[in-house]
Amino acid sequence: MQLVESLLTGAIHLPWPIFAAEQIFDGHNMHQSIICQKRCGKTPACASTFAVKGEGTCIYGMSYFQIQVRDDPITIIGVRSSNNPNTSTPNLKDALKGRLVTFQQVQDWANKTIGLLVAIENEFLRRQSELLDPLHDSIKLGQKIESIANRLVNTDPSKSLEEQIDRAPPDLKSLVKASGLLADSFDLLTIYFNPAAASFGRKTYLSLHGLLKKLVSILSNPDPTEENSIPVKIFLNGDCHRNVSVYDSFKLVPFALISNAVKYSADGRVRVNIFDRAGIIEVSVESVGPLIEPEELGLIFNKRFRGKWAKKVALGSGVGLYLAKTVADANGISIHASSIKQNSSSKDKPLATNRFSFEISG
Amino acid sequence: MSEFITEGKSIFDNLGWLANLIGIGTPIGGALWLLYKFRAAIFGTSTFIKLTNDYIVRKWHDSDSIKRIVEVAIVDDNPNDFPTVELQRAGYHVKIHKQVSLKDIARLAEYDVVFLDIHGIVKDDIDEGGLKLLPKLREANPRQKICAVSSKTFDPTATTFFKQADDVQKKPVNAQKCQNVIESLSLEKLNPILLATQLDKETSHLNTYTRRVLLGQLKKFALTTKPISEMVAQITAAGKLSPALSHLLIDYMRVLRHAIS
Repeated sequence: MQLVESLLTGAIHLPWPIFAAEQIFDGHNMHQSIICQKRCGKTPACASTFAVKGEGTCIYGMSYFQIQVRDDPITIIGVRSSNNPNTSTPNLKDALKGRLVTFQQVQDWANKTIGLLVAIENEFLRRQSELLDPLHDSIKLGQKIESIANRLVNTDPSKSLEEQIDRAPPDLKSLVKASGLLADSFDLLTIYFNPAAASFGRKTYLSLHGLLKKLVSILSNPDPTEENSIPVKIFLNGDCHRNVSVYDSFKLVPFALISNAVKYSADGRVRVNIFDRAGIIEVSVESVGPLIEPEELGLIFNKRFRGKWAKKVALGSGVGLYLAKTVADANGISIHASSIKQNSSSKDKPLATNRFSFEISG
Repeated sequence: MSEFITEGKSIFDNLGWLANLIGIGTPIGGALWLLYKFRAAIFGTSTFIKLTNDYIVRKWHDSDSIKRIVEVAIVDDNPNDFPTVELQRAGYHVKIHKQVSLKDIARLAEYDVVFLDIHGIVKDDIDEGGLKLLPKLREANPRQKICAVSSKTFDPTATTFFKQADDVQKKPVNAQKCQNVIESLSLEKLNPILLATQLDKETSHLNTYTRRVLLGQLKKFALTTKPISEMVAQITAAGKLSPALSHLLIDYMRVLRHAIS
């Protein structure tokens, strides 16, 4: 919980007036000084600069203290410190009277406030952990099903798993695909609840081309009764024999990008391109789908954000691209998005060539 | 005798200074060169790298050697999630601990690689035992490699557990994955060249003579059949060994014994 949100509830005891996050919070014991109100109004001059820990006297003769409460810089305004005797400025004698504050008091208040915020946060995490506990067995089962499905299809050690999936009988193929989707969905869910999980473990070398081949095989032709009404074909172009060093979570980046393209594909085609440019591997996912307005491109990776045209095409919660970005960030990768409007599309349902790409060094 | 000396002196007096220099310098130089060349054989080796190159490198084969040396513990209330039989069949020394007590830390800290779950493994703390066990193991033996194995990566309260581990794997772990994890983690711990480099760094404050004696004591101990637990008491050259140096020397001794056995 953020300090300012907590202060707004009024539940945190505030002995003196403070200035935080561009606003003044009046003290519960000591109210804002008349001098401060008259001279500075809503923007105290003493808060124009910030020292992590310190005290000073403002140009109008009032003392102030500055302290950091977690990430928030706080200025305690309109008080008197022991370095500012109220006899030194006779015209401020009344204004400073009864306003003595020591830095130790400020420090104690900051420590107690931090303690309270941490306790609230820990309690929230504990509750979250308790609520999510039933997921444990489902994730484990999903993992087990994927492991068994892969074992069933992987009978010929001389051939790659992707090759064997392609040649497997339809039922087995569906089982492998479904179990792969289930496991990856659980992985996405894991990152959603605990973004730190994106960088758990250690980086290992992975064949990016092999991963894309597997994902293309799993995500091609999804159940037409779901999401999109037309079967989608995914084309993988280009080649790359270089391996990349990434966290286990990395596979979720192409998974989320391809799933997203499949979900919104208007013409049933998704192109996945991989190019090796002298050590830098570029992966892009292109499809024709709902236009992403230029002002939306910067927001498209935000949690729960959905483009206005995408909302009209399919149901969704706006987390797929957010998760892709979370995992990409953990792996030190940036995802770029572009949307080029197709002039032939209708005004009430504008289409565009949407392209999501990232680069990674091999 | 005095005649012999006088005759010798007259021989040198009759020769020029250059001849004298060659006549005296050559045998002395030769003796010094021989002494320098065979210094390791005469006085003993003074660096771990040299000892490693002389005794270990030729006999060390990463996968095979690791299988013989590495001690693996699986600490999980559901050991069926691990390919224990396949690992044992492949030649690894694997022990399963369904439940441990916080009192067992010293014993657990002796393993090279530990696969550690969070829940249900510590008798004294069923819910969060793994969380508490991991830092205690780290404290007892910072060189130990710990692989956190749990499907609870979604739980934000367990983040510290996963972040502190050397590796993280989901359950069930298949045989190939498990072998890869064991091999890569144990090579980081037991690779002879890495160990020797670290030991040379750790003992760089000792003078050459002390290091020669230390290495001599190690070689001597390696040839005995005494348990390694007795080694720290027997190695006296470097004085009281620091915990870091003790852990390094114990690992090195196991590698050395494997090579000379």
